[in-house]
Amino acid sequence: MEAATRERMRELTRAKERLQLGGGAERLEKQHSSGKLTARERLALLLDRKSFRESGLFAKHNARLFGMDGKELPADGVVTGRGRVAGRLVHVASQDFTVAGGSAGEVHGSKIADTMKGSLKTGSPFIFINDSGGARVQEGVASLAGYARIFYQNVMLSGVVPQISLICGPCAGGAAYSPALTDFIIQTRDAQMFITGPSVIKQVTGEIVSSEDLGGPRAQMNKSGVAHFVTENDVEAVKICQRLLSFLPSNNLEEAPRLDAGGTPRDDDDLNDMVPADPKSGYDVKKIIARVVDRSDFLEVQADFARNLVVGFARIRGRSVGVIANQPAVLAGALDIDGSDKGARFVRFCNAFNIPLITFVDIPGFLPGVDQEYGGIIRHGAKLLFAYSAATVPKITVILRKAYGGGYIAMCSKELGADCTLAWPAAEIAVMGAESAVEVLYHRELAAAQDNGSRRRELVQQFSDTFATPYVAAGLRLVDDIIEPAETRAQLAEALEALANKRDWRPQKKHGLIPL
Amino acid sequence: MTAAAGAAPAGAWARQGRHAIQGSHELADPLARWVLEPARHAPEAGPTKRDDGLPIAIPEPVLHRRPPQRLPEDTLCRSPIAGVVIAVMVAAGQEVKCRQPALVIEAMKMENQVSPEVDGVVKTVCVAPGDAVKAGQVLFELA
Repeated sequence: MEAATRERMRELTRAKERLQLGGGAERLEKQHSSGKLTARERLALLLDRKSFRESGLFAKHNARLFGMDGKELPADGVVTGRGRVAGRLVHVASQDFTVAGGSAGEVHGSKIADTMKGSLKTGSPFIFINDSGGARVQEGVASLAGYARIFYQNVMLSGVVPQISLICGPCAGGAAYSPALTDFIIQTRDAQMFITGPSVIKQVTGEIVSSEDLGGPRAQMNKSGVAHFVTENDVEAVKICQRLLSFLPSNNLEEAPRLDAGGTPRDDDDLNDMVPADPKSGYDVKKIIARVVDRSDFLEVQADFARNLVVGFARIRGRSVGVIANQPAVLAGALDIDGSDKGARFVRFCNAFNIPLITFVDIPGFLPGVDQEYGGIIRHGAKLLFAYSAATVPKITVILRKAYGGGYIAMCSKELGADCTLAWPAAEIAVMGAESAVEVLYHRELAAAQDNGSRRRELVQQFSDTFATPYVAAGLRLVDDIIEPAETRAQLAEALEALANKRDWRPQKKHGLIPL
Repeated sequence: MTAAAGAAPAGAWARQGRHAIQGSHELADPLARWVLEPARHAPEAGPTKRDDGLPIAIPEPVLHRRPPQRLPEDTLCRSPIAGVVIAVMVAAGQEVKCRQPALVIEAMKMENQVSPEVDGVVKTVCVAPGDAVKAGQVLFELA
């Protein structure tokens, strides 16, 4: 090699090494001591070994004002490119907090938006690791343009490729809207998300709140339901992201990866005793899910938000499925505003990405209450009806116990297009509970009768004998079959197999109007 | 591994998926989820430990575990639902764990267990069996 060539190679290596150090060794060390990994370390953990191909390492900002002229910001504060997770292509952007606080300038935003276009072209998931102080103030409105490009691409990608946001540091102001437009948000313990921070809140309303209380994982999971997964640190966040990807197809035209089907499902006699005989007692529906799905491997989504409805991903004989289940242990399993929103969003995600839906029903109805009505339970509950009706993926419903009133309809009943509706023998499928029904039907007679108590009991018994069974619904063909709980897994596996090539025609339209 | 997107044979994916992704989340207890024991999947700390399958060394502060986050209102345990208190299993001065059943409220024709969102010591119990409670009403307070 000629001397000049060798020098050029050396120069390239030096330049790359310098730029890859981001904000410098000192700041990288500071990132570590504050309990966070660096932007590149997060990618190294997420992606298969040596699979990362960076683009835009040499990107330069064009800001000239407020001391920015000639200032070097390596990669403009965001590492972008593509790589592989378990062998499958993904596009990634990882904000570098060590470079100007990860602030988003125009070039920074454009780099992310261009990476997203790569996702769209290749039909590969987009993963955005957030760790940024916010907009780069020195660049003025140009930095907002950068954000807006990201938001626009978020919407272009929505429903075409899965989009996952990891929030590993601050994510404040406008920046929070990119994660909000993506499909899943994984937030670490060190991260905060909010639109207006504690200082602005104090100025405007006088309320005093810490940033962790305002936008930490507890706030964004338990209170707001903005976050889908909460993790203790960056390493766990990356693991969750990988695990989530394993359930999802790369884009809306593909099927989710299928794992080994394993042997023929055996009957699980323990399932026969999972639902308590006393209709008043609750139980944990996740125990039933764990017994029905492969290897008890259930990735619950929004585990600590609206716990009355359980949603998450699992597999049955190697096929990815979305599971939606009422949780009788919380709020009696009734559907409320938050539960309806959570369920509807999950159903729509699964439908967009060809993931069949399995619904376990044990619902006494919608939650009564003034706050629910004032909060718009009609509008929110309708989202679930809309989402289920609009879903064209295989829809399988198992009624475990109660299925009453509007709740029965909303939980993917036959008439909302369920392809296969099964009921356990203890199922009670009726328009309302026996006591209330008797009150409505025999109000006058009971008011007039002297011996109110025994007549009432007789009528209630009569009503429950007639309606608190799955046989009436099965007689009306609203239930396809009544099965022994033990055979649930086998039945679901067979139904999924049979429905694998399901086709469903819908009228052409620009888009439906889900009641937002 | 093949280079083209989606061209990897299913068998290869299945093997990788199981070992690279699921293997680290192998669940012994049917209900064990990542959220319960997150540390199980975290690698060991160490400056040069590169043979544990992770491509980078994880600095100790990243794996450092902190006490669970508490919100100011966590000390007030409120009724999630309107109903009638039928049992109170806690008393003032008693230590309680997060999600430990503390009260039973009958509502929607069901017995609903109510539990605190965080660990703590009960300061005052504000209701007794037989009381009708509204949704959002304070049931007991933690110190």
